[in-house]
Amino acid sequence: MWTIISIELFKIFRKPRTYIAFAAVTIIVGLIQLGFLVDGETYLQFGMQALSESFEVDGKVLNGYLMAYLILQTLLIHVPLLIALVAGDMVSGEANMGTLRLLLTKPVSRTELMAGKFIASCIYTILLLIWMAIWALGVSLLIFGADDMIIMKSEVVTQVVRNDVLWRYVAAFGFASLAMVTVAALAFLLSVFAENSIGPIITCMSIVIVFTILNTLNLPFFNTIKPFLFTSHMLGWKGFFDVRLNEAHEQIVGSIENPAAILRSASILALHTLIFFGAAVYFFRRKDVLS
Amino acid sequence: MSNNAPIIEVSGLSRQFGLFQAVKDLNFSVMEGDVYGFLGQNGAGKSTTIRMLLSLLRPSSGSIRIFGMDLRTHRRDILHKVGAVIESADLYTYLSGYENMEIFARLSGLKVDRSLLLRKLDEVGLSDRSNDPVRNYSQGMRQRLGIAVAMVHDPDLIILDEPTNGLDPQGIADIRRLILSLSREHGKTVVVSSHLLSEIEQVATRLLIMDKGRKVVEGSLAEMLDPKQTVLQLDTTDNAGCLAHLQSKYPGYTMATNPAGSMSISISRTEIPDLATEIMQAGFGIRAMVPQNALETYFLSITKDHLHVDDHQH
Repeated sequence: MWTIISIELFKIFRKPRTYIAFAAVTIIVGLIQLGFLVDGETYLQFGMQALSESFEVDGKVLNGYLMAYLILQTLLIHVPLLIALVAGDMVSGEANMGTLRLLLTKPVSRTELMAGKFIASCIYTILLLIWMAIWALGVSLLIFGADDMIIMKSEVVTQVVRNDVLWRYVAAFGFASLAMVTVAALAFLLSVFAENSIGPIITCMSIVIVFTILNTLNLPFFNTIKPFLFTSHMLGWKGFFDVRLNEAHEQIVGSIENPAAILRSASILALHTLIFFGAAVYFFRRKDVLS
Repeated sequence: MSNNAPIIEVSGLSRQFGLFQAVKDLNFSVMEGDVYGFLGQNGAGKSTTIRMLLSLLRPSSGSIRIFGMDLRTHRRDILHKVGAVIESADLYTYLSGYENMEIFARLSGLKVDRSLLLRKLDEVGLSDRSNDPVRNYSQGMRQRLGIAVAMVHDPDLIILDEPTNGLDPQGIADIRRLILSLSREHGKTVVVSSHLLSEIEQVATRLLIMDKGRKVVEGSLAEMLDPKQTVLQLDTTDNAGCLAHLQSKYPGYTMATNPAGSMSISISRTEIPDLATEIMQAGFGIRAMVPQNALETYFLSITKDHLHVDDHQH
């Protein structure tokens, strides 16, 4: 199995398109950082006007931790496309090149081949998220420094003390990796049915966009299906920044307000991943290779 | 030279695509040491059969045994001993020739030995281009690399589907020499499909001729060929008039016109002088009179429905 995984990783990282994703993440994160470096204080002052009337805000609000949080929120917008770019090409790209038939004349089982390809896609996805973490968190901390993290939501303001933030990011990027692995599994499944990678990439993105729109529609019919859509759980990482408060309304260090919700979201994403991968293997084992 | 042990045994093999029956109730066997030729026109079912032999396609019915093992249950064991090139040798164009070799060697279960892989590349004349990306290779070089990749694990059975597609005459000759060398010098069993009759005729020890998904005939060249019979390509000063004259003079003979205007006539070699005399006595001048090769003659005689098509192709 390791042989197949290493070969697949070798092929992934020899393709120029792989580096498009890493370059895109670097550019997007860099642009957000540049924007906040130039205009961030003004932007935050405007956003915190109401807050400053009730509280005295001390310290550096625009810091590396807040930047990483803002950047991670863009995850749903562009990263699925960058993931689909590679995962959607894993089988369809081979069919398109004609190498699929050559691969399948080698003494490798179809299930092993699919498992190797999928694990390689997951490794790529995780590496992309690590790259994103380095830029979004590491570089942001270098540029903006570290301080307590203040997150403004529509109704609540959460403050996470400085020395209690880093582990939450490790967990958040871990969760985000799981969410993106689910997208990779969907693109991977779609790539089994196609002879070129354009179809799976576009279809995968269309599904993510349609499901995301459904999430925003507050209609009774859609409300019943929302909990079962994987896109509803992709921002579950935010739960790691919801802290529990003690009776004196002080943050309990190391606490999470609703760990069960995070676990439920993670389980639903993992279940989707298993279903997508299982279906991919099922259909690939029965696939006639005509290309 | 054929031995007695069957390497491939195919029985009742069929494959249907929707309403189209690509292969129907096919039975044949390939013996150890054979260079087994699959002949048939485009769409005859050769590639479908070969893809089923390699488990790229699932049969609708029938069974395939290779090296005495059922392909459905022992696919992996079988493929350890098989090398294949299916039509054009499509490889990873963004990788070098050596990297392609390395990938497929590892997938074949080999421990990578750089000197061995370079030697294999040298055997197909690519050692000096081993580090170039395959996208810079010519079609002939890609085909040679494809064959090297297919044989990297030293398989006992080599399956080549239309290996001369897209090659220039030199490339075709190279492939022919390679097939003969694999069979005669290395004792390999080779299954090769082609629609180029002359190529198959020069290398095959046994043949399977397919038409519309069915086996038409199977056997050795010696069993099939009648050295006395040929198809004559004939060009005269008035082909239409000459054809009408010959049809009345030789009723029951298979004759046809070609798009270029010349004629084909299936005839015994001993009758050729009389035919020439007859044409000239009838007042037609002979521009050309060319007998076709023996296998082609045989092929045309057993696939008469396609005579016009074949005349266009050859």
